[in-house]
Amino acid sequence: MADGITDLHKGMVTPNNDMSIRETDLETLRRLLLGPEYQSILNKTEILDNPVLLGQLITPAIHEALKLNTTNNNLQKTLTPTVVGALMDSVSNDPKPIADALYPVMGPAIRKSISSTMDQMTQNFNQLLEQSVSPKALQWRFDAWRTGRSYAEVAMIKNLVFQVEQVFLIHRETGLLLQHVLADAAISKDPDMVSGMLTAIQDFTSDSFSVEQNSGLNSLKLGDLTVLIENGPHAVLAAVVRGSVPNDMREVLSETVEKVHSREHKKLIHYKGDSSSFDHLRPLLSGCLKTQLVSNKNETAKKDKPKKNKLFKYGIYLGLLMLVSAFMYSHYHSGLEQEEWSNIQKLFRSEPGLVVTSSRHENGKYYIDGLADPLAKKPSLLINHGTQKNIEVELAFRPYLSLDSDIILRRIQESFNIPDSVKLSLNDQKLYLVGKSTRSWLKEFESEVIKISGVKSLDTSKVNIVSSN
Amino acid sequence: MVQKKICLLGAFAVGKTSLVMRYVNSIFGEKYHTTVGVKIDKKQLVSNGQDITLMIWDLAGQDDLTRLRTSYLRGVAGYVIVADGTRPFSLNTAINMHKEAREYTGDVPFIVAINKADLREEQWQVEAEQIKALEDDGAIIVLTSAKTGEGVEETFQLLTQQMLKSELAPLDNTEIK
Repeated sequence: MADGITDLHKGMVTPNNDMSIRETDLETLRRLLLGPEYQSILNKTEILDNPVLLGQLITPAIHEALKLNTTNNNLQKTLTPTVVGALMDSVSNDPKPIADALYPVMGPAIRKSISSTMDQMTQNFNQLLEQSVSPKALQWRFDAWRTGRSYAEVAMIKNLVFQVEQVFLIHRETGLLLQHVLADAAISKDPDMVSGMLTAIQDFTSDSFSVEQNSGLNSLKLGDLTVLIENGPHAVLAAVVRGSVPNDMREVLSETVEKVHSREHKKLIHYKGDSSSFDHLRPLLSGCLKTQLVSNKNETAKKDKPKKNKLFKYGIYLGLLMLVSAFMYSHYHSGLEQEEWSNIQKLFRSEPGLVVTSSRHENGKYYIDGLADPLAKKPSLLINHGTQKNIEVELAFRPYLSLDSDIILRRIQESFNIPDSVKLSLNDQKLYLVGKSTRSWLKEFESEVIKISGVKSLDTSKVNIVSSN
Repeated sequence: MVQKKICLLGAFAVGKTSLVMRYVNSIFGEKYHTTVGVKIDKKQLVSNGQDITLMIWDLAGQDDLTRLRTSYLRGVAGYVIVADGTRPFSLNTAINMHKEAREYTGDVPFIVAINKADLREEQWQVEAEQIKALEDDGAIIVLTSAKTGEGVEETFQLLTQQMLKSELAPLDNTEIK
């Protein structure tokens, strides 16, 4: 070291030496002073100046940093604004690449979400609408009020009436039936053939309509029967559900399919047609034959309810019918009464020798007041003579002398002894005589009849006088 | 109980359906042919002392205009090709169909059933050479008659034996898929 210093000293004090030599010397001095560390510093400076080398150096570091991130969230926090900013920049510059990248993810996600929301919504709506005006609904409203739950919630719970009748586990490749479980009360046609046909229909639909791969038929509906089909890569689970399918049913099925695959993956791939090797899956499949207590209760309730409902309905119809007929009858009856009343009034008004001064209907009774000539028909006879049966009429008639021509003629007939050969008629207070009579009778008649009120003159020109014998 | 899926292939009106009609249990009607294009029947039999259930996929008849619905062939353990002995052309169709099916199913056992054998004396039009050529290619040929029942049982028995045999030979192409 001491030698080095001497050398340096020499160099510095010798002005004749050229620059390069001095530079070399300096270099040498540096190396001597700092040793290997100098070289390493030089290398590092070079790396810092060269982006390619720098990149190579820090890549492993970033890798490590990212690894560390799994335990520590700091990096994530630091990077988030940058990544978000970069994404926003990219989208605002040109949204297409991002849209292209997201398309395969977003499409199915959106469709799935929309369809499941819509499904649920329509299901809820239908049920609620169906139940919103019925005795059942009233009971539910009471239940909701009693339990403090919303009506919709109660209605939903009460509506989850369903039974999973059969479950098929089908080998997807061959369509052969691996296992089949059946609920106690359910009936099944040959499940082997049904399973084959279900597979054929799956193939048929996916052949006929171009669909994404592996997305076979999901469900079949037939009245209140739904066949839910859950497709796995090697096995298909089909559940026959009667009633309204609960929302979590599909989840149960897909979990079951997953379990089947995870347990029997190899056997499914190399299936040779021996279904007994899947016998141990029966308990798992029976788990899909959902018969919850609530649904059971409702199941029996459902059987009773329609009867009650029907009775209730018939009751209402019967009541309505009775009401209507009573109304019709009373209407008809009052119509009859009215008609009869007016007929009676007409009768009284047209009857010669009777004058109706008032007629009225009070407290369900009918009254006719008036005047009656003693020679007129008796008012009470007039009533009994009619066909009326439905009404009762109180009559109050006072006597009077009528000037009706009929009555005058009757009065004349009563007062005089008129021979059969003479006919009388009255017109405008003039009495016409036609026929044959004796002169003496005619004379007497002429003198007396004028006294009868209502007769002012006499026409006897058409009377032939005959001799008195 | 071992189940096997097999298919029936053949041109229109060669008698595929009649062939199985007297042989199987069925719960599906004829209309499935025209709608879904396949009808599934079931036949239980005993082969080499073993109980076997055949699920028979009876495919609707094909011609030059309708293509074979190959998706129905998926997973078959064997198939029967049916031809009509009174219509030599149906044998050509059958051979074409066999080639097409082969591409899809791989090397699975098959039987060629030449149907309407009850008309062998009168209207038979299949040349002995044709049959020999097929046999030389390794095909098993059975003359059948849906009318008399001749050869029907035998066809399915033979196919079942072939299928069980091919299963015992693990290096057979069928096993490698």
